[in-house]
Amino acid sequence: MRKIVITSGKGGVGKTTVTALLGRKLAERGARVVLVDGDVGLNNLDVVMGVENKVVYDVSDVLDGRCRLSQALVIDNESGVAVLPSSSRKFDVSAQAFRGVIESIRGADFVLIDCPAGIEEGFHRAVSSADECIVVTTPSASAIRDADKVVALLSSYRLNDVGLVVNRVRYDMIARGDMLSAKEIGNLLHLGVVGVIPEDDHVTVYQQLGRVPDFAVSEKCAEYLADNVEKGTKQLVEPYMKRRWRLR
Amino acid sequence: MKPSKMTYERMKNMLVRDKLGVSDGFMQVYKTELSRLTADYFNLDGNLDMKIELLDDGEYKVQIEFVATETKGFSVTSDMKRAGW
Repeated sequence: MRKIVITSGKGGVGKTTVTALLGRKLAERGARVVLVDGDVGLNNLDVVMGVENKVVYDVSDVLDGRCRLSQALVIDNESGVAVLPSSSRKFDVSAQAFRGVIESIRGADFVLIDCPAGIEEGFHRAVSSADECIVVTTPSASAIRDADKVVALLSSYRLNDVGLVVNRVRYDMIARGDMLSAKEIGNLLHLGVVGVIPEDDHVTVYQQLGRVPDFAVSEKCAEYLADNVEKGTKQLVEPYMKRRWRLR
Repeated sequence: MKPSKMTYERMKNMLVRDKLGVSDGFMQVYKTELSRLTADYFNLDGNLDMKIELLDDGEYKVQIEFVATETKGFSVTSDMKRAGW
C-alpha cells in the first residue's frame, strides 16, 4: 500500500482537485484507491468527488469509536474510489491517531491524503502519515515560494519520494515566454515533475458536477500524472508540445 | 528578455534569499562593504555585481564580478623587507 500525501503550502492551488483527478485515474487503471481528506474543519474532498450526499460518518467518528473505518468510507460509484471524509467541525486529532487510521486501511493499493494548506499541525499530521509526497504548485511566484518552504520542511520527514505537480498551466503563455514552464519550476524547487495540469474551464465544471468530461485537456494530463505515480517515474510531458493538444 | 526568464531569475534570487534568512538590506550592505574593500585594491569601472546561487547539494555558490580599469600598485611592509629596507 503506497501512502501519498498531496500538499502545497499555499491554499487554492488545486491540491484537492489534483487528489481527486489522480485518484480517479489510478482507479481507472485498476488500482484500489482510498482518498483521505486531511483537512479537518475545512473538508472539501467529498464535494470535489461529488459524494457529499453519501457521507454518514467521517474520520472523527472513526477516531471516537462511533463507527468502523469501513463504515466511514464512501464509495464513488462511477470511479470505484473510496473517500474517507473529514469532519466539518474542528476537533483535536493527534498525528499519531491520524496515522493509526491510515495504517488501518486494508486492501488499498494507493492511499492519497489531501493535506490542508499551511505548515501547521494539519500539515504535520498529513505528511507524517505518508511515505511519499506530491507538492502541488501553480506558476505564480507566491505559490512557488510557499512550495519551496514546504519542500524544505519535507526534508525532515521520512519520505521515500517527493514529486512536483504544476497546476493551472497556460501553454499559450509558456509558448510566448510569459509564464514559467513546469521544467523551470521543477529546477527552481529542485524537484522532479510528475505531472502538469493545464488551466482548464472543464475543471470548474467538474468541481460543480463532480466529474470531468473525457475530452478535457486536464483529463489527458491527469493520465500522464497517474502513469508517473503508478510507475514511480518522473517523466515530464508538457502536452503543448503536441500539436493536437495545442490550445486554439 | 522574456517575462518568463525575468521571473525565473527573480524567483531564483527570492528562494535563495529565503533560505539565507537575510533581508534585501543585508545583501545591499554586504555589497557596499565589498565594493569599498575592492576599491582599495582596484579602480572600479562601474558597480560590483554579486550573485548567490543555490546548488543541488544545498551549498551556495557566491560569484562576485567587477570590472577594473587598473590595479592600485602599492607596497606593503613585507615588500619593503624583501627590497632591503
